[in-house]
Amino acid sequence: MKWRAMWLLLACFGCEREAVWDAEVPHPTKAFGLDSAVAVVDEPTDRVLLLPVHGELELAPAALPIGKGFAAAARTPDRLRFVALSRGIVPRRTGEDEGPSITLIAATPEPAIVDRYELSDPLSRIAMDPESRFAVAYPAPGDGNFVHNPNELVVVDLDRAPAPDNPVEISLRSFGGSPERMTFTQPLALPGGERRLLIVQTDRDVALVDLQDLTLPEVTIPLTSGPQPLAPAAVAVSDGALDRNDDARIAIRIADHPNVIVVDLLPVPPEETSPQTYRALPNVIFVGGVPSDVAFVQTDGGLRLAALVPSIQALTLVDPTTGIASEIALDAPFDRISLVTSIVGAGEDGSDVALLWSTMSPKIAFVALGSTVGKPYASIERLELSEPVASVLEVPAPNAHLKILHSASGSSLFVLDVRDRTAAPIESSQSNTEITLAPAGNRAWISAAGEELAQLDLLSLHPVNLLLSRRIDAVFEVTRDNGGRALVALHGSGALGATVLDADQPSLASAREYFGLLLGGLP
Amino acid sequence: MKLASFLGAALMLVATASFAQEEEEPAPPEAPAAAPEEPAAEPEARAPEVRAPEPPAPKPKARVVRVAKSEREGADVEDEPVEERPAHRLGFEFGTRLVVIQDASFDPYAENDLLPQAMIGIGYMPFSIGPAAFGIIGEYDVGTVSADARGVPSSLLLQRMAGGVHAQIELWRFQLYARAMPGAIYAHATLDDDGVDRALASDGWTWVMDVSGGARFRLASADERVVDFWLFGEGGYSLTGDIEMAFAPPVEENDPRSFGQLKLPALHPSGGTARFGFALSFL
Repeated sequence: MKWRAMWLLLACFGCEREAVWDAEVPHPTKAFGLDSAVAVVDEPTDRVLLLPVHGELELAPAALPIGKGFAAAARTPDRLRFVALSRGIVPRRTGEDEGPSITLIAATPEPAIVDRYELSDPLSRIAMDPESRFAVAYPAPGDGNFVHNPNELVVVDLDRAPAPDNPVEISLRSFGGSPERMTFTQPLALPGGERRLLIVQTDRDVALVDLQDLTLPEVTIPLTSGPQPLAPAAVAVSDGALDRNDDARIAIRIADHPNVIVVDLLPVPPEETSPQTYRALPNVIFVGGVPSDVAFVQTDGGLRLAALVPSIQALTLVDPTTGIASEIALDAPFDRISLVTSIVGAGEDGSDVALLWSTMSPKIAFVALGSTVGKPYASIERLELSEPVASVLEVPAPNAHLKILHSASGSSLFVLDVRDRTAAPIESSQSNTEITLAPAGNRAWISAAGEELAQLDLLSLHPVNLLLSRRIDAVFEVTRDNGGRALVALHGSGALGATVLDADQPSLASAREYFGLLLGGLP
Repeated sequence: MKLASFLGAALMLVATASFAQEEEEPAPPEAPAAAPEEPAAEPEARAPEVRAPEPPAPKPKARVVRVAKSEREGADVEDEPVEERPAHRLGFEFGTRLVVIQDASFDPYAENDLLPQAMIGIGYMPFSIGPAAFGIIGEYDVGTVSADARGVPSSLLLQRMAGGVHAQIELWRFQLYARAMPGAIYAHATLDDDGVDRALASDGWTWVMDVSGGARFRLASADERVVDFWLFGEGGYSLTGDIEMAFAPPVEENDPRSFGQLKLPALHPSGGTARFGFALSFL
């Protein structure tokens, strides 16, 4: 007993170790594919582990702190930067307790923190600008501060260093809702000049924030006037004619409602005073049924709002100026629309070509919108697939004419050539396959929560099958520091492992396996 | 940890048993070299008789050292026979060595900063001046710790091989000493990650320099101090280099896979040290 007491005394003399070594390994991990690295969020240790690939398929892990209380992360669409939102220590009891922040990390072969933007309130969600310039932090319903504003946004200009006017806090005028989704527009020709808008959807209204001048008050478009709240489901934006600045429009699809609200962004009348240079004029348009998707399209008759209505198997075209609608009958309940004009070229009259697909029917259709107005027998070209399509992946340039149609079962995919109007099936013996497109657009990687991995060349459609030694959780193709390409397959077993392959010449003979990655880089 | 604890406890038990044995047995002569003084006085009390001269008492084959004058203050050193006793040249040590490694690089392998080791040492003291002696020593320590590093079972085995110089001075039943010992440390660490069928391993060497001081207490002697039994305790500091900790699965002949390394912080096992245990010294 005395000996035990002595050992305890001696053990007490030695201090306890750093708490990070007792932190659990997150399962599953949150991972993001960047241009030159894979970013893995290690939430329990308040850091992100970046995995660039050096030399001969060697991982060079770099751990960077992202602040305490990780909330959300995103990569910029250009894949060059990584953004992490942290809530800090909540509640802050002392001045030394870390506050909320946004950490901006450059995903170069030698990753580094570019900037850290301090926030005044802890927020939990983040939205990323498709042009990689802005990040918007906003609250989640469960944010549990003693007092918090559910309509507060923080807009960060990622191209600028932290400054008194960056980030900017915005409190939306609320009619009872709180932000749910963000949409960043392209530059729009508006009265007063070209500007980009941030369209904020709440559960009952839509707000327009001027990204050009964040000090201006937002424009709120209430959708609900009666007792039944109307929730915006999606938005579509049109800049209108190139030579006009008074015809930009926003279409708001209402969840489970046959009306679409088209908001005209018009000049402010001279007799009105407004801090804005435009005013939002909403119009309610009936499209014949509950639409599943909307888009602005150019037809031979001019700009139209196209609404897919699966219940009547029709594409409704509405003149946003007059509200006059016409329907194109479809022979299947198509529920998604995507314009492919930039790939196949516009018609002689400048009209668009739309790709329609369905999550309920094994069909896709190309609709030439050049001969539609007043002609219900518009040019429609159909393709029969073996399965309905669950999602469509856009292949990056130079193969943007290809699209990957992923089947609902996950056991097959179709490589759709929009120019040739062909859909080549690729079958898998596994269901629930995951598809990762190479940023160069030349291949796809297919995995299926197992050890199998396949590289699919998108031009030859030749698959190369590989069998790794561990279950694959995610794959990412990145640029190596020598300019080559590498595939990093993450394995969630243990403390996170990875297999690194040459993406151009994938072979197990040259692959390199790593284990326990989340043990590295700790203090 | 358990091995070192067991060895330390066992050695302490042996030492305690030796001490108890000493109390039961008649005390050995303080110093065998002093024995000839008494026979020199006895003939004056006895009746004169003719005796064949006795052969001189066998002396140990040890060097003889003079006791310091201060131990017999006031006596005329020139008039008295010099008190002599053996200076032990050879010694062995067994016990436990504890290192407090506060560097964070130790954290993946242990839940606190303590590294216990079993130790064994040998010393040779060829030089002496009065109660002081100087010599060389060698020591080997081995100890292991284990823990979970974020749920991954981990272990670290540290071996130290060192040789150096030792200086000591003897005062009554105590011996005070100091030593400096350069040497080498070998580390073998493992991580038993679920993702691989064998433990990831890392091996490495670095240099070490120990400086320490301590005291011994003589528990008992045997064969007229031919052998002394000691308990010792010591404190010091161990300064080391860094050991790169790069983990990978051990290569197997029938496994063609190529493995990358997992790099953990370079191990820096410097820290305060404590040693305690049991020692034997011989003539």
